[in-house]
Amino acid sequence: MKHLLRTLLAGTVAVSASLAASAAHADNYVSITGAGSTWSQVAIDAWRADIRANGVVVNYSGTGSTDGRTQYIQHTVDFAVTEIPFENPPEPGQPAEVPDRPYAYLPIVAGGTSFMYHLTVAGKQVRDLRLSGKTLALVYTGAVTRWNDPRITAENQGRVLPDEAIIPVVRSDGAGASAQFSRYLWRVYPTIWCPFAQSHLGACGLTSFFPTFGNAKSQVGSNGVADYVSASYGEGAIGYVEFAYAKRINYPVVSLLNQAGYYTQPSASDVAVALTRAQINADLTQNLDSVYVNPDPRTYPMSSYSYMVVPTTAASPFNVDKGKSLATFINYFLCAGQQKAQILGYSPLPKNLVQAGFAQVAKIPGTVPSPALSSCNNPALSVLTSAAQPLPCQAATSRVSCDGRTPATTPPAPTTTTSAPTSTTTSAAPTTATPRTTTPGSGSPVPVTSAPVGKTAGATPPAESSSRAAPAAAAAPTPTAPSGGAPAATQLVDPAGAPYVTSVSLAARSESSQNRLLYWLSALVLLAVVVAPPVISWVLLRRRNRSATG
Amino acid sequence: MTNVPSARVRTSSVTPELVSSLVAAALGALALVWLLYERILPTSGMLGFWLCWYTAFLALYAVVVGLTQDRLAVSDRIAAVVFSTAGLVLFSVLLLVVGFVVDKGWDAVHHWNFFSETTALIGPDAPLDRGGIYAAAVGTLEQVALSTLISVPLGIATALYLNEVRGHLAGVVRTIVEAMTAIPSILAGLFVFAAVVLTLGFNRSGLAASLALAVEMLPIVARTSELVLRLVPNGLREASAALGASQWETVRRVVLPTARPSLVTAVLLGVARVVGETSPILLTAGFTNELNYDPLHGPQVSLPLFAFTEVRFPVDNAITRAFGAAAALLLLVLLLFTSARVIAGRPLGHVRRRERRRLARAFATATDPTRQVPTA
Amino acid sequence: MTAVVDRPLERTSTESVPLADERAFRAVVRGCAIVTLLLMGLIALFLLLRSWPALHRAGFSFLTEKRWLPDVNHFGVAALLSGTVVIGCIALLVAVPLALGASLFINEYAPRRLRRLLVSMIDLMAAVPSIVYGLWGFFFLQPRMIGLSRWLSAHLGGVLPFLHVHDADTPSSFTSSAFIAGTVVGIVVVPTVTSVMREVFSQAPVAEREAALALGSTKWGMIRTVVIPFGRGGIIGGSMLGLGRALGETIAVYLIISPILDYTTHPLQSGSNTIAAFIASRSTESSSIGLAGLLGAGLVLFLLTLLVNSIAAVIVARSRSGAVTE
Repeated sequence: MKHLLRTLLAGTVAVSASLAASAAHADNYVSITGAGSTWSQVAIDAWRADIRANGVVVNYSGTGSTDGRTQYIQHTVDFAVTEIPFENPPEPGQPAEVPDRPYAYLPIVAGGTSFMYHLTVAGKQVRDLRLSGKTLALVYTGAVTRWNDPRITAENQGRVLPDEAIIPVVRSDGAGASAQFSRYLWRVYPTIWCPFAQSHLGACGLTSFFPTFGNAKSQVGSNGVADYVSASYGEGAIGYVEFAYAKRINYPVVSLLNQAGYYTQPSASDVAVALTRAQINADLTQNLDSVYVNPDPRTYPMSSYSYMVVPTTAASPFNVDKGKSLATFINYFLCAGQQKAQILGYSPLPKNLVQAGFAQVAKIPGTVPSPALSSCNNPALSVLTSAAQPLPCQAATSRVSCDGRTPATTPPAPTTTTSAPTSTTTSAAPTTATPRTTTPGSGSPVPVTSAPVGKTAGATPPAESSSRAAPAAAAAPTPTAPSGGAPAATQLVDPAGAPYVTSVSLAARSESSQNRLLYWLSALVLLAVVVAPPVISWVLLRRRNRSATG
Repeated sequence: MTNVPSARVRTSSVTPELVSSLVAAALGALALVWLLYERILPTSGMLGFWLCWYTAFLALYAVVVGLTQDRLAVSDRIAAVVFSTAGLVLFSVLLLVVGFVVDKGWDAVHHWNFFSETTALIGPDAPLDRGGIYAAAVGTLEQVALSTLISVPLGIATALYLNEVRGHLAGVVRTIVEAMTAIPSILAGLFVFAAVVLTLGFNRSGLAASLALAVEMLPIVARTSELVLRLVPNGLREASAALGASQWETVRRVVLPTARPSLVTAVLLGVARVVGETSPILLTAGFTNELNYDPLHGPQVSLPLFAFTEVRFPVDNAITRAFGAAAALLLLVLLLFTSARVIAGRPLGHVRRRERRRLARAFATATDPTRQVPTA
Repeated sequence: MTAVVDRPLERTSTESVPLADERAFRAVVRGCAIVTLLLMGLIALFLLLRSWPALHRAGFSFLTEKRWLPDVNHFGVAALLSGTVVIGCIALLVAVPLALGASLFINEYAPRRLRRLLVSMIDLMAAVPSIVYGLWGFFFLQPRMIGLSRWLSAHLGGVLPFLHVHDADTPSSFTSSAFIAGTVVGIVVVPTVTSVMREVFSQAPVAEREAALALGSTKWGMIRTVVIPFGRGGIIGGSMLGLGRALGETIAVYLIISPILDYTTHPLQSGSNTIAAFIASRSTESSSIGLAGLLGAGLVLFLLTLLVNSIAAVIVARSRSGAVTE
């Protein structure tokens, strides 16, 4: 019956098929189809375009990791790309994912889940926001809702951000990025995450379907998130995407606080450093628990690998011919393709994972031999060794921002917000006056394990080389202030500000009330001019009529 | 269109009084509302302003007209203005949509490569002088052609069954077909996805997409064709039967030729309806950047799907490309639509001159060659 | 109608008469009708059969549960249904007055020379793909409607609590809302509604119009006393037809709303969801029970649309104008 119907369907279009068959497969590679992660889609799209030149056609649709895995289970794709392995046992509210065709995991690229934001102060975009995982957890569970929240202020050297609502943007589709982020929250901040997850999902754990809450907006795909944040009305929005998405449209991402007390960007090197602590299981899947708390000061804590799920048998829809295409594609991106990772906003795979990946390629039916690792020119090691130590200004304890902007306040004095203590102004002066020295890294509290910093500054991506190369206020003393933990709600208030502002508003008010009176008057006059004649004529007419009849 | 006698009775057409009162009311309202809205009340926003302006305009216009005329005339004038505004708004929305889409897509459309290349070799942020919609256009044409191939013969045959044969199933079929015109397009897609892709194991492909489109198109074609067939005068059928033609002959030689232009219109309108359908394709066609001529194997992109995918990249060039694809889609719909209008322009049963000559020749050979062509 | 010796006059000699032709014709036509019937029946049956596991498992709570967690049996269409209905109603609020005015304008007020062109334009508008309206709504209308939303919320929010928007200080609170999506859907359906209404109005009996005018009625008086009462069925039927289309509109909604799984109670506030948009977003990533749930949601949507369209059909058929319209 099934076959009959299928032949029937096929028969209907036999004509066009025979017409087209000749054109479709001119080369000797069969095209392959995959779906899944949008987190790594930027890299895959780039590799896809590269390998196309060799005649290998790869169709990839970024539909979310969950969709990729489901489609793999449903036999509708040849391969899937996902951040997390098949979920068995499942996450709350989702089915157990048990594919009935054999598969292997294969790491494809590393990257940092980063937080892109859209924040404007006085017409200028804020580009140096710093947040800790804890604050992000509070933001993404609806506990911190305004940008001028004291906890955010405290992390940004006392700089008060505008009094605007925070719009957390989450993924509406099943997303590996959601899973990675929620796993981080779950493992590192269970006390914040679990009550939230319990109430929205019914269980505590990671989730690919981030629940919407409060002000949160859900968008489809990483593109959707990036699109929303960068839209004209996206002011106040923050969303999680792979760094590549922010980099592509030159949008800032949050510097995230790591275990060593430094705020770092998801650069290739900091992701690579972070992942040196990743535990790789026998099936190549990752356990990131130690990455989150990697003590290296160059760690970007929310780093992870992305994976491809490849079939290891020729079960439908896969076959040996497709295996050849897929193996060729994988050999390309594991080897030469990794050189592109950093440019795109990812981080290359380390050699051992590339080697392990080649071992997985060998399991694909119809595979082709992998190239020698030495021929790949894998940039991972140089990225790792060139990882620069964070600047002192990136430290949580630093009171000077990295662009040398005026620091905020006195050491975390309990006196806060409203009143304007005179001490505030005086403390500001010396810091700006601090002579800038050219000794980056001197403030680093952690021993440097790899190559010295200075000589490799050029290797860092442009986005941050500007901030890092700037030898800004390196000598900032790190006095008694404890690291960002204490909610020191300090706020920058110009001491002269308050009275000045009130006087202006007073003047403005008196003037506006005068104006308003004038406006009202002229409106009345205008109305009278338009309405009076008909009314008068109507009255006159009626009177005349009445007198005529009477 | 029935003849409306109002034109003869209409006493006032465009008079200076009408124009001046309109202009006066409009300007007065503008000034008043500007003052109130922008200066006095704590309000702002473009749309709100124009809404207030319009209300004030209506009020002032009523007052101005009321200056010289009675209540009935005032309500007549106000009604005329309100209805005309509604018409104006509707048509300006159409122009705005078309204008905006073409304007946003122009940067992409004016490159020739936009129509001759695919996006196989480029990423979303590639410059606009590289890559284009060729693959999508091919996909759209193939999918629409396939779905037309499936649904038009079926639809017209069903309509013939309903209107000519009138078997005992006619009532049921009619009811079901009418019910199915209500089917939301997403359900057509979901059905094909669940039945053909998941249950039968047929891959996502151009064929699956055309099946979904056919499912949506079939009831539309069947229903409109039936309406068209119903318009064929019964006298023609009776005449044919009286001449001894069988039903098949009547249908073939009288009913179908008479209704042909309207049938073509019905089909073209059905095609225009599905050519831009995105949601069923989203579920059934898969996505690819590659040129795929083969609707049987592998994913196949089409214009709406291309626009939908590109627009979700937060990159200006991709968005421009999406608008370019939308503009191409508009052009396609316009072409279909214009041809439908041109074909439908002829009245039911109209015979073209060439046709008439052919008929005359056939007639002449069959009968006395001296006789003239009878008029229908 | 048996085969007759006497042939029609224009007949050329190639054809043969026999009954076989006739029988084949009937068989083919009947076969096609049955295929159509089966195909259409198959869809309904398939929807019902495949969604049965989900409906059975969820029971009545399928209509009252707002969460969507199919694999722990907490799933239902309540939230989606509320969004669907709200967006449909907003679409009607936009479409019906506009369509009513525009159809009367075309029929009664527009210059006669323009009338044909205008009718064509309306039909063309109905053929414009909804993705085009969606793109336009997202890029053109949405930024411009934020001001109106804010204005409505600020000035009417106090009186009508459902217009209230929290966090009104950021434009984000007003984007991707049911209001904006509903407006765009309204514009998508307005041509359909207009052409139905126009068709009905144009059928108003000439004699009655002339009588009204002859009695000294103004044009508006004539419209009010003759055209509108005559076309009342068409007005309601056309609106219902528009509602039916609005309920099933997918892509324009999908592009604009920010999907949430909660009741849409504040249409100006960002975030909503409809059944159609939800199906579009979730169809591929669902497990078998999830897919069954989606098909169930589709069934609900289908029944809703069917109900609305049937009511429309009945109203149009019952009205005075019904006999002459389609």
